[in-house]
Amino acid sequence: MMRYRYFLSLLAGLFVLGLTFLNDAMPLPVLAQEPTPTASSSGSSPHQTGDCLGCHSNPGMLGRFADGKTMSLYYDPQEHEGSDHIDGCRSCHDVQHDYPHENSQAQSCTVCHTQFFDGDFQGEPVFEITAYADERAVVMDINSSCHKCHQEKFQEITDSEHTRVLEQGNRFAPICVDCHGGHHITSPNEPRTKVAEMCSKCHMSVYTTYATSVHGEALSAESNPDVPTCSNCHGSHVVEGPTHIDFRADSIGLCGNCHADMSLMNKYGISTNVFQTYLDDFHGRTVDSSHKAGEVKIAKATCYDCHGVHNIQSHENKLSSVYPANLQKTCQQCHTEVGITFPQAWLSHYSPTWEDAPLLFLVNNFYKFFIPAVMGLFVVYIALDAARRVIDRYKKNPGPSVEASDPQQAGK
Amino acid sequence: MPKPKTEKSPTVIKQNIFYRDAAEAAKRLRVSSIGIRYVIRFSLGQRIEHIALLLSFTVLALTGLAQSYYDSLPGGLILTLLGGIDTSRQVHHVASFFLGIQSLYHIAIFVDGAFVHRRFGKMLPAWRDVTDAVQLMKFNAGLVSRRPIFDRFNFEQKAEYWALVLGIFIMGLTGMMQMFPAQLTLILPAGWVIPVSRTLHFWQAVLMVLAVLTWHFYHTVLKKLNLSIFNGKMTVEQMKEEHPLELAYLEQASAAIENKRWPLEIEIQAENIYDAESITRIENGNADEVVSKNHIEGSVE
Repeated sequence: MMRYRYFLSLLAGLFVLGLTFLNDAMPLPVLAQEPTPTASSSGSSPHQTGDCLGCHSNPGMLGRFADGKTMSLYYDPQEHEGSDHIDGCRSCHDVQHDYPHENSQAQSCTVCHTQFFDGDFQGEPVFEITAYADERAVVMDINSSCHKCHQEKFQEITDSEHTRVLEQGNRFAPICVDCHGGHHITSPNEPRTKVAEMCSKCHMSVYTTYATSVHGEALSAESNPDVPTCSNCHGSHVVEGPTHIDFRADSIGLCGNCHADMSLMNKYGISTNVFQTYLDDFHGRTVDSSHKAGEVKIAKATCYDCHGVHNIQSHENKLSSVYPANLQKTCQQCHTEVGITFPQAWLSHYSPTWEDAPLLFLVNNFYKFFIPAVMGLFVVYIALDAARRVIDRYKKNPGPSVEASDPQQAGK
Repeated sequence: MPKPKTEKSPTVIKQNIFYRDAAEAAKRLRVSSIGIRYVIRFSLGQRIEHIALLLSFTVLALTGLAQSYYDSLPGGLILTLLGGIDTSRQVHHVASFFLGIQSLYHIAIFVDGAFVHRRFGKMLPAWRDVTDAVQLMKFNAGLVSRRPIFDRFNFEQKAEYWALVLGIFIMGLTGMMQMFPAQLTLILPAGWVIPVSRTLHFWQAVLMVLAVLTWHFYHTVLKKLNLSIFNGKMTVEQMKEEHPLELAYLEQASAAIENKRWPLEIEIQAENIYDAESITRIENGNADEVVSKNHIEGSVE
């Protein structure tokens, strides 16, 4: 009995091997192998074992939906190389029904069994897919199996703008595999340019603007590790829409995270004063305090109201909205009828210096000296006065040792 | 024990006064129903002015500093209580409006008194204030044995009053500059006046609040609780201590009115009973020798 089984499995193995050669397919990838059928299983034919690659390694394999559109059912093992996911097919493709996929009659045996194709066969080498309406439906179905391992990510995306769009009925809102890939799953931010390129698949116009901004240029030109890419501001899984109620108020923190970080800014010679000077002035103080008080309607200027959003440029760039010549126009976005000198009412994130703002510098430093001086004088004056009153009161109602504590004698 | 040298003996002032002023002075000296002699120190209008100032100043200080220190616990608390930084800004503006009205009223009262009634307040600074200040500091340091004799307002009160006037002027000006930055920069050739006004407004506010908390509180509450600005009254005993010169003037002016002496030339002799020695002298009924004669500039109320 044992010998018979052994012989059978050997035969089955040879059969598979033979098939692959016959089909001119790639060598079987070890990576994507299903759990190897044990020698004790009843047979080695993919029809019995459910060996996915038995069929899906055929480059010509096509599936056809009811509307006539087709999709490739071919699995390219090379695609999977270097992927972070090296488990078997069924780890992800668990929603597909067991082989032979219940709903897919093998309408075209010749897709695999080309040796039986004798020329009279009328059908096309495709499988009719009836369980899904189109390719997107297949992808979305497979995508749901990510949940098995990555529950927490699904939790994160619940509030995502993308999920909202999806729930509104747009089936092309990005799901896991759209950003992370299907078979070739690698870290989505390596290299960093990958993130922006990925988003650009849908958000092309924003990407073009971003790519020419001071951040985008540094990213694409030098793969700068510090500049923000899409996900740094918008998040990755929790993608908040820019119209989200908190986004505006949170945005100053977004910019501040980097622009108030000395170790980061010193590399580029950018002042970290920008954040504090913003908070010290009218706009920043209002925005920050309103935000901290939990207010949602924030009508005062945030960073991006002046500096731009995706098109942020260095203030030395003539295209920048904060380039000196453009400032009046930028202010006029809110202060509609202000004159040319109005932008000077804002010190451009600089602490006042003698050269830039002499009067302000003077006022600041005068009071910094004057207030302590006046207070010191007051304290000394009051202390002397109070001491004298205490002594005199004691003198009016002298205790037993009035002679010993005569203040006037002591004072002389 | 060697007796400390007496540098200054009682102040003596010879003064011609109008009948009108003497009559008013006589009205200010009163006796309460239980026989306590007191002086009307502030009129009802002045008392109301002070309460209005107290309220508007406090509201302005709290809502203003809360905006500057919004990140601190008390600042955040005030902002939360008022319903956010925008509301507290509005409250600040309303309070500043009231203080502005009040300041204009105060100026109007001054103009009316000075140019219509020809009556100059005793708040105007005089050289005597400098000498008083020097003498008091010397006295406190134990260098002289006698306190200066104060008139209606001493140099401490005058300094505070004029600092407040200047402070409110600065605050009002810089505050209004910040209220209308867009309009102002259309008129003025420079935009940097706005940040200057902000900075000035902030520091001046800090200075004024600190001054009130130290100087004003010490002199009106800590030193000896003085409620005359609220009830308008000050006992003669307290007047002897704090404003002996005014008390002497009031007493002698009212005596002159009673005796129907006219024209009035009164000789004001004032003694500060605060000094232990002078108390003894007064009790013994010994008149002090006249050493110096100080004349107050300007007329008296």
